[in-house]
Amino acid sequence: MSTRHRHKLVAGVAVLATGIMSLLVGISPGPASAAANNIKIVFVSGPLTDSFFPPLYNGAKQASHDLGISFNYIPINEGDIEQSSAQTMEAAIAEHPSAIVVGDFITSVVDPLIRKAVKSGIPVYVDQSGQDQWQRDGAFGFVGQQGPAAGAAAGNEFLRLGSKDVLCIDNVPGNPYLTAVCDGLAGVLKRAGGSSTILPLPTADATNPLKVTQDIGAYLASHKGITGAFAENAADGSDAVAAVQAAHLGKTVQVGTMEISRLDLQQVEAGQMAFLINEQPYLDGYYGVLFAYQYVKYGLAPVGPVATGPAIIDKRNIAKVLSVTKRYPGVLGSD
Amino acid sequence: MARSETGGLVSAVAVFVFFAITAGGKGFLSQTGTSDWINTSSQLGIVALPVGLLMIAGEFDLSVGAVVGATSIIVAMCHGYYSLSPWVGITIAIVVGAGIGLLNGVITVSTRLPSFVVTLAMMLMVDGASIGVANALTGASSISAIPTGSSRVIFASSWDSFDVSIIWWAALAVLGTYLLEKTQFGNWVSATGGSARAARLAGVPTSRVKIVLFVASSLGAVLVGIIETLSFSNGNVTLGADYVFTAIAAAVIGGVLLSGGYGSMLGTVFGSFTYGIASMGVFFLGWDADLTDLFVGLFLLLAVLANNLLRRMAVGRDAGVPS
Repeated sequence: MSTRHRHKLVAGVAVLATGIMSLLVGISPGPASAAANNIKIVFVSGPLTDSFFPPLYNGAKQASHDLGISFNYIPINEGDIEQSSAQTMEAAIAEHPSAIVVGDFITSVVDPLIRKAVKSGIPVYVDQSGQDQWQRDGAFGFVGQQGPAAGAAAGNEFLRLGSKDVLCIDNVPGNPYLTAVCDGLAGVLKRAGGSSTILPLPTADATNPLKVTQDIGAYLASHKGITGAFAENAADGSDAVAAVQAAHLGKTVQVGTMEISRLDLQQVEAGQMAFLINEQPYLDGYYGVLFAYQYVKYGLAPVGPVATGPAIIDKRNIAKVLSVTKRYPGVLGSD
Repeated sequence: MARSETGGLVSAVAVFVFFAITAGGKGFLSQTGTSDWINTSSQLGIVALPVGLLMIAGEFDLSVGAVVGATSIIVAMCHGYYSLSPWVGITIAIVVGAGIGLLNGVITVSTRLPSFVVTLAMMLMVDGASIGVANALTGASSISAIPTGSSRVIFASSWDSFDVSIIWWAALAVLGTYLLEKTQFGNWVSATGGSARAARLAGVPTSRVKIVLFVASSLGAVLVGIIETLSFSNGNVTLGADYVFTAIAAAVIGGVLLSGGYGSMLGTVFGSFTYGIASMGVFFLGWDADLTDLFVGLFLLLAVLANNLLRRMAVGRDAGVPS
């Protein structure tokens, strides 16, 4: 165990202890300046069980710490996403914060609530999803990655590698953002004379890497001619690599994925994974809080959407990325 | 016909024959196709065997999925993040898993609350604790962990795409069958699930039986958590969440009664095979992948219906078998 890790362990135990203590005595932990600043930001976004969101949460938490404001993160339950999107946003409004930062995943549910918040005088900043709606809803800005842009970036990478027929592996069938990514990918490939089909993973397999690997392997075996596989989260990306390796297709099928994990990075380094699409979720979280703070305090905000992705990680920049992951875990993606 | 596993055997064979005919030429009967469904069945089977045993004793365990996830993140944190020997994480996971099973058992027998509710609450608590501790310590809910040395051989090796989990599963099936059919403990299990009151009057230590079985079902989940984490070099708190449903489904397809008192380990093995074959087979059909869940669900429903029919036929000949 390295010294850094030991320090983090001590810090982690201290965080847990402080959390439990504050629950017991009914106060919330936070910097002393929080009261003086009197700015409170509520952040509504995805659950921490989804590997995409811990870096976003860590970025948002770091920003609120750096700025000395009080901060509350309300996670949406992905298992019941529509109902939960409404409840979490209602809860955020009920807290009467200085500003709300929200991931607008289910626009039909969240948009009316954004308008409700704005109407009641709470400024709203849209974060990570909702790129087409934020202006109409009266939000004061958007930071994140456009789904079609991420898909298009992946498509261009596949074309650069010589893959024209690509499988898009959808880990949450029905999620409009992930569908938009697959559509963006398909658009670029079709224009180049290629094709893309979507493989929706059965919901019962989502938490089972063996099943995901074998599902992808079986699909590739029964659909010859596919020369690329694109996954939409870090774990499915490394499962796709495992499937391709098991089928001895490493030379014919290129693999790329959204999101980052240490395993994915190692697979890029080893040449088994062609590229990763990085949305930089830490920045989604950090900028979401920072922009909301500056808007509340000074009325200032970036004009137009701020893009945190798609950044691309491949053999060319892997060394630098690996050194950052080693030094600052929990910032780039899952460890 | 009176044996409880007959229905499961018929289901498994029927589903296999169906896919051998419809998808045999598309890779289902190839070596990879075969290892695919056997590997899937084996991991599910390791969870389903002790869950089935517990169901025979009349109790549920809905916390198994959460225990798989907790194990996974413990192993990955210790090995992948803190760079300790894999065995440290494995040992901690076994202790934590046994502790969760013990708590499930003690709370269920001492409060007489339905285990369905007790273990549901435990599932939520274990899920929450896993994510809380993992994110506080490491800033992540998913951690890479590449296995080394003896732990890799024992939990993550495979031969020509056949995983070591198959050996674990076979060993546990033999052990479970021996326990249930050849030992006094096995008699106690069936008696406890048949009528706990009558069993107590007959001197069966029903509380102790249940607590032991709760610990066993947690440990089955721990084993799968270790295998999945080290095989795929990645730990995640959500890993295994769906075993809550599929393990119970495997036991029921295999002839275990939801009301307890009846069932066998061999039946649970066939139930796991049925699920593994159906859920892998549909991919080899080459149909629209959107329909996968629909067909897996349909196959499972047909399997349970067939089993129920066979059991009723058996009741006609053997009055001792509950319907």
